[in-house]
Amino acid sequence: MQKYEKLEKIGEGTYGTVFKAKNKETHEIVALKRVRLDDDDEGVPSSALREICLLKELKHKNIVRLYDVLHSEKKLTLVFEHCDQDLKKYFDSLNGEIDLDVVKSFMYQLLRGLAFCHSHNVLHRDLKPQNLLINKNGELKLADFGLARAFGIPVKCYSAEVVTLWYRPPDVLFGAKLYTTSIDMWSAGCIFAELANSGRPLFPGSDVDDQLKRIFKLLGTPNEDTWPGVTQLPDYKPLPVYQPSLGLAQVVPRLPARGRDLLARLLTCNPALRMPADDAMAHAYFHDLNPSVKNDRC
Amino acid sequence: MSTTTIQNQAKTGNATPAKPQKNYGKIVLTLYNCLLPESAFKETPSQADGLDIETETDLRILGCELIQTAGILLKLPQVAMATGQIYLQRFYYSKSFVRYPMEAMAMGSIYLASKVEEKPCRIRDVINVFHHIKQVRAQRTITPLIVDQNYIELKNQVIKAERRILKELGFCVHVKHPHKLIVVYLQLLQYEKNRQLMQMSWNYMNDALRTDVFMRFPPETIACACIYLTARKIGLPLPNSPHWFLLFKVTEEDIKEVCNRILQLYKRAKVNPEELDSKVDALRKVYQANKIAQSQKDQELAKANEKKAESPAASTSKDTRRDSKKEKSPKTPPLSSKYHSSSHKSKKDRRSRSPYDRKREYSSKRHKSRSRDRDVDRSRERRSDDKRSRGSSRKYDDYDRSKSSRDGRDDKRKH
Repeated sequence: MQKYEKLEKIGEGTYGTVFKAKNKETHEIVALKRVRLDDDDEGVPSSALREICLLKELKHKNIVRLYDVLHSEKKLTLVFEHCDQDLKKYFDSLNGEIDLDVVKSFMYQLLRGLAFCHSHNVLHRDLKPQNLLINKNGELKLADFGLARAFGIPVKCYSAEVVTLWYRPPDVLFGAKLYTTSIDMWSAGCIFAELANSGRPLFPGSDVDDQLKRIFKLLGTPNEDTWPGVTQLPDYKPLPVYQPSLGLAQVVPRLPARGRDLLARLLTCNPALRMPADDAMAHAYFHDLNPSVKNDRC
Repeated sequence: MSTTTIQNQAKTGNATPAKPQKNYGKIVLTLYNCLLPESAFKETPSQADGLDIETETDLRILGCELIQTAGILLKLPQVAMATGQIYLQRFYYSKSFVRYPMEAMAMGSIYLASKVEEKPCRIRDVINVFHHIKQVRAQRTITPLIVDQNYIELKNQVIKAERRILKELGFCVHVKHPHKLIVVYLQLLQYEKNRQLMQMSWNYMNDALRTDVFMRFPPETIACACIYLTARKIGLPLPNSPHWFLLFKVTEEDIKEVCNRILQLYKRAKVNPEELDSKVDALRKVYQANKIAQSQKDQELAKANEKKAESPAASTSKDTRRDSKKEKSPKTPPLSSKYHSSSHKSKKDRRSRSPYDRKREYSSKRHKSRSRDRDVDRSRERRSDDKRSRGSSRKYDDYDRSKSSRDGRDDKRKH
């Protein structure tokens, strides 16, 4: 612990305080996430547990790097790579509109990070702008794996209480407990639209019903034809039948046609038809991506 | 051998040379990297503390049984019991039964496993269930546990045990169990409808958790061995030209090895918990006496160093002082003291074995060394062959991590 000099408090995480700190030997800036371990409590919080054991497996340019875990009598400190801000703060700092090349670059990096997680059998389950970190070089990194889990094949029952409401896919909103990587792809779609609109959330629902209505107003209410099995989901309820408004052009006016096509493939109600991350990376929208972003392999 | 090994090699290949290693406590374990090299079984930390191998084996079996029974009473899914048993087994390849009481570690294991497998239970329930099991075992009247100072102490022990396990295993808590593989393999062989085959294979797998096969072989091999053993038992011929298990890249040699180890289990006499307790207690007293003597020696040494070293060596003497202070600490040493308490010899061992070395050792030498080692083991097993019987159920896989976590820790301590 004496190895690091605390500089300032960055924020409160799901299960502890995050500080910016400097490594006294290397002068490297890191982020320290402190997990308090009170003896009268229930031991190490499972979110911290998940974050540590998954993140230490995931070493990728687009995933925040867990350098070390410091274990002491009273607390557990996770040492992370430091990033300047999260996507939410980045949006706030934008005066005016976001550059469309930045949208493309961020989206590509988000997909690349996700593809890596998914190929390592890890679901993030809580994608949102606050959990995407941005550094000065315009690199985007997935963070906060407190809700993530490793998935196996065949899939098991998972908790339905995951993903912040606004970024939650319709199948999970209907109580589906057998979700896969498609859960993250929906969230990625929502974030894509939010990026293109310089930070305006796509579906800012106030509760589950409102959330579903907002989604179906744009995409049309699913039925057994468009989504076989939808009526069998645990929390399925008949909702007003909206016709697909085909209004993506109005929703994301600044996005070019190829971008809208990618968005539509991510925002697909039927999880079986939702585009996976590696396919999305190969989408025509990214054909003219700046090669320095594309080739930046880790 | 298995895909597991291949993945290991691939991972190490990418991870090591590509990036310059930064000066952080390295956590290099991967989900695939969890088998122990043969040397780990030759001298375990408990044996280094004077515990004989039979007692150690019995303690492992008893601990696994406790976890299994507790898990049933706690209504946990079988996967949690399996994971818990694997934690316990792995932990004691890196720490000694003499220094870390089995029961607290068993409680910590099942508690941690319940969290990892997403079916968390409360520490309080774990304690109650263990209390209940002990009463039943001793055929005492069942009385509820009173919440007193003793209970609070027990709870703290479980919390500490959980953290110790995490540290020892380098936070590598995801276990790949062969249960699913049995199902998948039987489907591929089109025997998924044969309930007897499925259930018996599964039972063997759960029993196998009490042996060391999960630290010796990848889950694929164990899954095949359980199917193989069951097919033999019920006289069911499985495809043999070519042999069915070749489909899963498993060799008959490995399968037979696993089968033998599982069958040994049924030959052992029933464990006598009181006897085990008294053996461990005796050794613990010796260990504690030695520890006190050692810490006094260290103190004297530190004093001497202090006098000698006015300037450059000052930092060393400070370290020594810190160490000796920690070693004085009471029966449940704080987490950080672990590293200091082991003998010089084992410290040296640890340092020389980097996780990478170990992995290499495993992937390249295994084939060659196994048959030789096996002969040695067999003869050892034969000696211990007092007819025994045991009925049970459990599971599974891994190891290597405990070692690398040790190395990581050593690094940390240096900082």
